[in-house]
Amino acid sequence: MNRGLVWRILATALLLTIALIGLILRENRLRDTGREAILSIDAVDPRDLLTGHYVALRISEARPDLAVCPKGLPTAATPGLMRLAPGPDGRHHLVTGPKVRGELKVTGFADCQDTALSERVPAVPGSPALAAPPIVTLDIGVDRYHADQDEAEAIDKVLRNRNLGSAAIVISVGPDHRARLKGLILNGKRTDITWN
Amino acid sequence: MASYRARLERDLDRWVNEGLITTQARAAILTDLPPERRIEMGTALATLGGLLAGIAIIAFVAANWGVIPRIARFGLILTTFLALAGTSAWAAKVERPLLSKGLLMVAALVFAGAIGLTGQIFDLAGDPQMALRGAGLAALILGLAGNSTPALLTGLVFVGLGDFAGAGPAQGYLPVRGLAIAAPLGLILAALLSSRALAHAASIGLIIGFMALKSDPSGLAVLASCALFAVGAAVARWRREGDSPTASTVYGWLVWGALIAFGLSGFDDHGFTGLPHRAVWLMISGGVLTLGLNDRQPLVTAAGVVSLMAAMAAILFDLGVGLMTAAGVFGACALVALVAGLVISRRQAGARP
Repeated sequence: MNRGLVWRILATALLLTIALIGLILRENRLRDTGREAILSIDAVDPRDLLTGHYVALRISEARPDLAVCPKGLPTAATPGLMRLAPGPDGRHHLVTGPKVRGELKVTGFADCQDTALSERVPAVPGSPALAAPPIVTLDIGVDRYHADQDEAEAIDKVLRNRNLGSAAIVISVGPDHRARLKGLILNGKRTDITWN
Repeated sequence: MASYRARLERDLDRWVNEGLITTQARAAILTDLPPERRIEMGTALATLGGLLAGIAIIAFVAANWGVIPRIARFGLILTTFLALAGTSAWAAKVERPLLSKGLLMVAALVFAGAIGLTGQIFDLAGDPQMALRGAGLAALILGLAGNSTPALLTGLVFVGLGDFAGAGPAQGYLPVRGLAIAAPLGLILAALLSSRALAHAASIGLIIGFMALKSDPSGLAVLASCALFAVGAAVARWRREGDSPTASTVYGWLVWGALIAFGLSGFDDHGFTGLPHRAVWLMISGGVLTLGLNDRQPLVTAAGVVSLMAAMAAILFDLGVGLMTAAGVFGACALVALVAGLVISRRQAGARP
């Protein structure tokens, strides 16, 4: 009998278990102590057979306050720090330019699409030129909210039909500038992620 | 296929009939053989029963997963992992090495699942590459702790998957591909544990790791990796003569690596395109084929055959309808092979007493 082998296996298993528990405790502490931000979300295809039921989250919103897409945003190839600041609607939005009160920095990248019609499309005579605000989509590593099947389907229903209500996510940004999902706001009702 | 004992018994009977050995020697040789490993009916049924019970438990938990509190789900996963590792330790204690090593592999897989499920249970934002590499590292540590080749193999596979998870050339928190570190480590462990299976996996991992080290390598870099593989193959061939049980496997795969790298150096923008590259490729392939036959290494011979076919296909593709040129190239190569064969045969004939 190799007693050394037995103890090595047990010690390694224990060490890996402690490492996994430590990771969760650390993430939980950073989620609890980080700065909170509320971001609008959009509906995308939910659920994955292999990873269980979840609501796929896309942090995306139309920005009528922006005439055109801001330049120099971090991209998928070169992620970086982005600035989020609270708006009058109580939600956080991507900001560029001068420092804004209450802003926080988060790691990720952004995609901005100008949706205005091409200049080659002539405006209807007597009407103002057709234009649509740019769409800003953020990728900050928070892309799904796991829930049981009924809850996931209910959330997805609201996300797909905005007449039924509004949806947002609550994130926590720690000193490492990483975003951690803290909760979900659906029709004004906030549900935080807990241990239960 | 007949077992070693059956084949040996047949040979011994023949040798006894031919008067080469005595019946006493036959009996002594057979007594010296280790007993054949057989799986008993009871063990097989118990294993099957255990597997079915495991599936039943998994199905029951999956059906009620949604109503189990988060902390309980996490506890369930950790308990499963610890139970598997504990049973593996027990199997090592009662000297059932196969069971112990197999259970450690299952424990490594459960730990990989635990990483994924933990992220899901607590909605932790994660990086798929880091999760796979973490699972790979855990499997490698478990394999090292329990001398378990299956767990080490699992670790290599997870590290390899991690290298290609996520976006393109991004290497996450490592400056190089994980396989470029894990595969050489796997080769060392394969030699230490005398594990051919690990040697196969680590050698393949080494080829993939080196090939994917840079997303768009220059022709010189590809040729340099070819030279490195060739040097490695030469060292492994030399070690094979020193009776290293894994050296033959490593030798075979490194020859594959060298030929793949040489072939790749003649494509795209690597700067070694054209007939000179193809002619050298043909020569090398023929040389490797001969070497494999001479060394009685099927892996090396197979590498030579496949490389030869690839080189010929590349020549025909390059030349298009220029069949006369193709005939010239193949004819010249055939001539070189014939002359080389003749010279070697004469030298061997001269060396014989």
